[in-house]
Amino acid sequence: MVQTTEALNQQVSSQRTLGAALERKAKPVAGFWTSAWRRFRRDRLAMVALALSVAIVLFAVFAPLVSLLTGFTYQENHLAQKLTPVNTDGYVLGADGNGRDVLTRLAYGGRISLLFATLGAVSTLILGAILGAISGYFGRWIDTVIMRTVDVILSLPTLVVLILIGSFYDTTVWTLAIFVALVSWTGVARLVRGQVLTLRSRDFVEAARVIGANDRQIIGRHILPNVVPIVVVWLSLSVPGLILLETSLSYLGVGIRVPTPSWGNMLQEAQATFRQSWTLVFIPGFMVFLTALCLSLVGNGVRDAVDPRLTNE
Amino acid sequence: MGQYILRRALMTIPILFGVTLLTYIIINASGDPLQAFEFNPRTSPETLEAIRENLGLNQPWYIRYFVWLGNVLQGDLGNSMINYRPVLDSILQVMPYTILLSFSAIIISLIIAIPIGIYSALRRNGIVDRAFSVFSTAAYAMPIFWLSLLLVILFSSKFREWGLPYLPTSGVVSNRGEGAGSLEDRITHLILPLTALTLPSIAAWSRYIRSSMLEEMNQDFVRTARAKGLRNNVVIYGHALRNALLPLITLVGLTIPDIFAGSLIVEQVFAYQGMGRLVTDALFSKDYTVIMGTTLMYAVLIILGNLIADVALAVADPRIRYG
Repeated sequence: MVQTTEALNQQVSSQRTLGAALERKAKPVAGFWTSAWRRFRRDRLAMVALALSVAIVLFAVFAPLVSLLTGFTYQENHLAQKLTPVNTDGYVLGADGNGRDVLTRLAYGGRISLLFATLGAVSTLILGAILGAISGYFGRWIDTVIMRTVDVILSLPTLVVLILIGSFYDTTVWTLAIFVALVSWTGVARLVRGQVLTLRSRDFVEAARVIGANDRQIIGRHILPNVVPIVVVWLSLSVPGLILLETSLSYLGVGIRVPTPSWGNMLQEAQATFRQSWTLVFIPGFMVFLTALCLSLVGNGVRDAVDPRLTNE
Repeated sequence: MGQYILRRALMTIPILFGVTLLTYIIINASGDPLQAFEFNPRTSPETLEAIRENLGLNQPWYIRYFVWLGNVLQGDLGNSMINYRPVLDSILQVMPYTILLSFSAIIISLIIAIPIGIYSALRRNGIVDRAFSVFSTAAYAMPIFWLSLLLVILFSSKFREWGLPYLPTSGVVSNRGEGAGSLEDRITHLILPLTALTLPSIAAWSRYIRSSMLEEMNQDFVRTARAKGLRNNVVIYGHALRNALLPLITLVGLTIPDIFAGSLIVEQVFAYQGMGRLVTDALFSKDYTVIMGTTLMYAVLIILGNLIADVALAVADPRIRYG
């Protein structure tokens, strides 16, 4: 009797070591994200774009430092110095129509523009992914209701609706981002729904259901992890678009309200004086352009790295 | 075919209904349109009440919605709350300009994008392909309003300074001077707005055609066509291109809202009297009836555009009708 227990214990422990050995053996195989990062690193253009994007983000994040270096705050105006050209009297990038330092405002404006783009993308993603997942997983009437809503929203002139909301409510970066999410969640919802629909009928989901997993487990363990890559790609490709959207909204006077600087409202203010000083128009616009360009190159890199099949090559 | 079109057209009715309801809710959730007069000492409460009565604002919003919807179905979009002009008249007056701008933008973009896409696909990774790849990424990242302003600065301000022939930057037509109102005058007014509006779609569509061409070129039927000894041109234009253009029809349909959004900005920069100007003016004067009418009109145009795209696809691709 004692012997048998011992033998059994021995057997169990040997099985444990076997299991541990297998686990150890499995470790060196690169995970999904590790290999994606390895592919991304090989993309030289994307790496350069990533470095530039990081530099732009740092420039915005350390705006107070920029203010310290230029010696101007973003709102102090010296009307006598208005429209100072580039690189004169200590104004590295010149002064705007109110005599404010452009470089300092560019850094602070970057904070707002980048914050808006990030918030907008994330809230759109959360709303769209949740609705899309519900729609795809549960199907039936829930799917019908959500998809018909998508059809309606897709037929709306989105920009008009955003201006409508912006002109009737006092918007901040946060509320504006949420409003953007409310009118633009449709794309990601369709994407996630499609992915969930294909996943739902896959064998491993069927197998999970057979061994008695409930909805929460199936969604959390089996479906969501497989939706993440496509969503990451969507996220990285949508941020540049939101930076551009901020410019459009601020140009129309319903985006970020002055005196808070944003790249969009700097452009809008510069329009009044563009015949005297074209650099005032050029600089914030170029910053938007550069940021959107770098971020979309990074986005392309992410797409190629995460799912090589999605590449349009 | 007729049956397909009918079925597809009927599907737009609930969508239109949803669009109007949603817009109505957004507008009415934002409060009282007569709020500005509330604290105006020169407007007595009685007058305010009379105006409310007159405009039907003393009813709850859902009643007003159905009254409005009933009128719309009879072709009456109401009167402007600012200048009392019938909304439909104001819209119909400017709509042709917006349609002209957007429609020419789509046509011109297609005319330019398709050859670029084909060429890039045929000479894949060649110097031209790479150049257009850089161009399209750059064009996509450009704020349309910045692009418009730069065009104005270069082709109007700077060209005038340098004594070169410069382009007009505002309006749809010259007010005075020689040739005002002629076709040529109208066209020169369209050049800059159209350039700003077409660049992003040329960029996007040419890349799309390139990738869909490349995909088709790898299909079995292309190999079969080559194997039976068809000429290269026949294989490329008769077999690959025909199939590659099909998804483009849907894409163009789906891009229509973006074109309208772009035209709204461009109309603003170039003081072009279209629907975009009408709606932005109405938004800032809180002219509710005009906003509702224009939003509805935009939605109708978008839905119509998608309908046309779907029908065109069904005409071009018989598989759709039976699918």
